[in-house]
Formats: sequence, C-alpha cells, structure tokens
Amino acid sequence: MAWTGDPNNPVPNIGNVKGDLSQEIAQQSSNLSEKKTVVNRAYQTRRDTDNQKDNTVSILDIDTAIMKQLEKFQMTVTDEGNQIKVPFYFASPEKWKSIQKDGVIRDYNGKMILPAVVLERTSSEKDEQMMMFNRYINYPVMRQHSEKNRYTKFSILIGQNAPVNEVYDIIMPKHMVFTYHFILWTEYIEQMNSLVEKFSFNTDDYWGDLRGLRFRTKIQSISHAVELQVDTDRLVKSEFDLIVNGYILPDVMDKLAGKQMTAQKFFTPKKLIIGQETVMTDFNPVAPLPENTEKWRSQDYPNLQKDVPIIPPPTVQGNPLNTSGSILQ
Amino acid sequence: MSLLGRFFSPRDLKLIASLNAQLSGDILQTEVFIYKICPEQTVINIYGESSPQNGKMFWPGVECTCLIDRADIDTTYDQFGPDRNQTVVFKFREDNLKTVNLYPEVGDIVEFNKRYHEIDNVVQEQFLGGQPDKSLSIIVNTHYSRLSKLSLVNRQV
Repeated sequence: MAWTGDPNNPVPNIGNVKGDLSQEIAQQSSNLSEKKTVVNRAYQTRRDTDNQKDNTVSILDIDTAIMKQLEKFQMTVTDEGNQIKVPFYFASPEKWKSIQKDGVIRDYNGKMILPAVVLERTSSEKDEQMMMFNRYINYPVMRQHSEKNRYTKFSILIGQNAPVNEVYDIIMPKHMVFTYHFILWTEYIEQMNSLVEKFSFNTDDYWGDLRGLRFRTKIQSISHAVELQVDTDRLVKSEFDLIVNGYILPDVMDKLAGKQMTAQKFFTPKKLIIGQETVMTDFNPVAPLPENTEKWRSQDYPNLQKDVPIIPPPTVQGNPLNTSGSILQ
Repeated sequence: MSLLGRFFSPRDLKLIASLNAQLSGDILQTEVFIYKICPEQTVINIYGESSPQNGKMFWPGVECTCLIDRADIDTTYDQFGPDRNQTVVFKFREDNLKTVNLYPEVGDIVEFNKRYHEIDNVVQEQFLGGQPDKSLSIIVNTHYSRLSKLSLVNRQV
C-alpha cells in the first residue's frame, strides 16, 4: 500500500523534524514570512515593566458606565410607606442567574416582585457627527514623569540636561452612537412617576464615573402603558431609548503593515545641553605684551616665558645602570 | 319561603349539602384562607389604584374548605428573565361561605400552598334544577399574584 500521509499529523509540521534540519526549515520559513520593512527603533520600547495602563475603551466600559450611573441614582419607590430600592439588570440574563442569584426580585416560588428596571443594548451605529477622515491619526499624550529622570549622582554632575518624557501615541477612537432600551415595571403609576422623573431630569448629561469614563446621554421620548390582562396581575410599564454617544478604542488595530498597538509608547530624545560660557577679562590683544610675559615663539616651547632658563637634563658618565639595573646616583 | 321546582326538594338539598360538607370538611380537608379587601380603609389615588404610601387593606383571613383545581405552574421568559404563572380554580360550597358570611369578589386574595392568588372571576352558576335559589357552589378563578402588590406579607428584601 502506498504512503497516504500521517493520519495523526495531517498538517505539515516542522516540529516533527529532528536535528539541525528543523532549524534550517524554521529559518527558511522565517525568511519567507511577511516582514515589516520599516522599523522605527523609537517605538521599540518594552511595556512589560511599566505600570501605565493602555487607554482602551471597550463596549463593556460603556455598559459599565451606564450601570454605575444607575447605581448613583439610588432609585427607590414607596411601597406601603417603605422605601424600596429599585433593582436594575441587563435584560435576558442566564436562567440560573435569574432564579438562583437574583432572589431579591422574586418570591420563594420564582414569581417576580416589582418594581424592576431592565436595560439592553439594542443598536450601535457610527456617529456621523464625529467622523474621522483618517483613521491613522494619532493623539500624542505626554507623561511628565519618567523613571528615566530619576535623581542620581550622575544627574548632579550633568546639571543641565533635557529630561526624557514618555509619550503615548494613541489612535483616535471610533465614535459611535449606542442605543439602550429601558423597560421599567412598577405596580402603581405613582411609583412609575418617580422613576420617570428621575430619568427625565438626569439625561442630556454625561453618565459614568467622575474619575473614569463618561458618555453623553439623551432620551427622546418615554412611552407609558398599563397592562391589564386576564389571568395576570396589573402591570405599569414604561419604555424608552437612551441614546449614548460613546467611542471605542481597542488595544490592537490592524493596519496594512500588520497589527499595531493603538497606544504606542516612545521617549523624547535625551540631550546634554552644553551652554556657551563667556569669561570677561582685561586682556587686550592689540597692546604689546610685557617683555616678561612674552612667550617664546618656539615650536617646542610655545607657552614658556622668555626669561625662564631651560634646565638641561642630568647626564651620567659611563654606564648609567649598575648590576641590579637601577640608575647610579 | 318555599323553593320553586319539582326536583331537588329542601330535603334533597339538605342531603346533598351534608354529603358535600362531609366530603370537603372531613375527607379532603383542603383548606384555604380568603382575604377580603377592605375598600373603605384602602386609600385610592387619582389613577384608581391603591396608594403606595398605605397599600391595600385586607380583612383578616377566613379559613374555608374547598375543592382545588390547579393548573400546572408554568414559566414565561421575557427581558427580566423567568417568571412563574399559574391559574387555580377554587370551588367553595355556597353554604359554607354563607355560614361565615363571606362572599368572594374580584380582587380578593385566596391563600393556598403559601401562594397568594388574586380572584379574577367569580362563577356562581351551579343551580340545581336550574333554580337560582338552589345554588350549590361558588367557583372562583384566580391567578398566582405577585407579593409586591399585596400588603399581606413582607417583601422578600
């Protein structure tokens, strides 16, 4: 029977090759692979040792900002004179989570307890008003402090030097418009009124964390309904769409040249600044030099004064070295 | 006042009532509590609903025996996750309710199996011999109600 291949390893794999041949094949594969032709060594900075977090904005961050804002609202309704906290959740959670973890909003048999607020992200589209014509535009952000400017003894010696600044070149984010659909359920219209007032008054503003990400939100309209059906409880329901102007910035983007981090770090060039020093003296180049200070115009002794005698070197008669090799006195 | 109709004489009615009372009270013994709402004490707001500040006011529960026709509890799923629904039919003897002077109406609550069922419909159509004076039962159609619309028990918070 003819050879039909290795069924355990149908894909050509140089890992199965033993010895020096594997290195040769690996080198040949590396030579054939696509390479970036332009390498800027300024961008070849290591990122595994610094503590600077990459500035990325994901859809999860936007969702989290919305949820944090809802937490800050501290929505409550009055029920039998008591203030009941209004729970809010993302719509359509997993079944086990609804039953086994969200016990607060259900009774012992799994029946819902109102009030409740759910939201879901229904659409995301690009923001036509915040279009970027060139998606490769960078936004440099300079960090003043750098560990390369640490106080050392050498920095004392070299007093004047331009400090190194860390620059993070960040790609401009993609601006998008997210639509969140909110559904509010309460038992009574009076309870719903307080929730609608809360949402209506607090939109057209930025939602999110004060020291974190914030996004502009607005509500166009709110629909109200009271559902009264056979074999079910009366239900007061309101729905609205929350429009959020957000932006996304992933950590890696695909360029024509290959993958590239959206936040690239590089350093400004370090310089040693040598300033021009001017020393003021009473030296007059036009006036004749005094006789004593006039120097020989000799090529061998250019700085020697004229009246300084030149002492000849000591001379020794005969063999200057003794038997031990030292000079005779 | 004599009862009309040739069939189901008072003696027959007494026999039927005693048999039913023995069946439900001594043999089956399925007991429920009926909570009648107290409209005079319940504050109503402009929307025609009980005010959230005070909630609904109920009379103390009355224990009654009845036949219970329970549908399977089912689970529906919406954006909020699963929700449980059930419809239950409670069949009371009219004589028993007359004794405790309790006539169930729409909106009253029937407690059974630690669940609270709101009455949707009251059926009083079992007339022996077709005579309204010989009504045998009061049947109420109910649905499993949310705790948040009741003031009978504390919320599960």
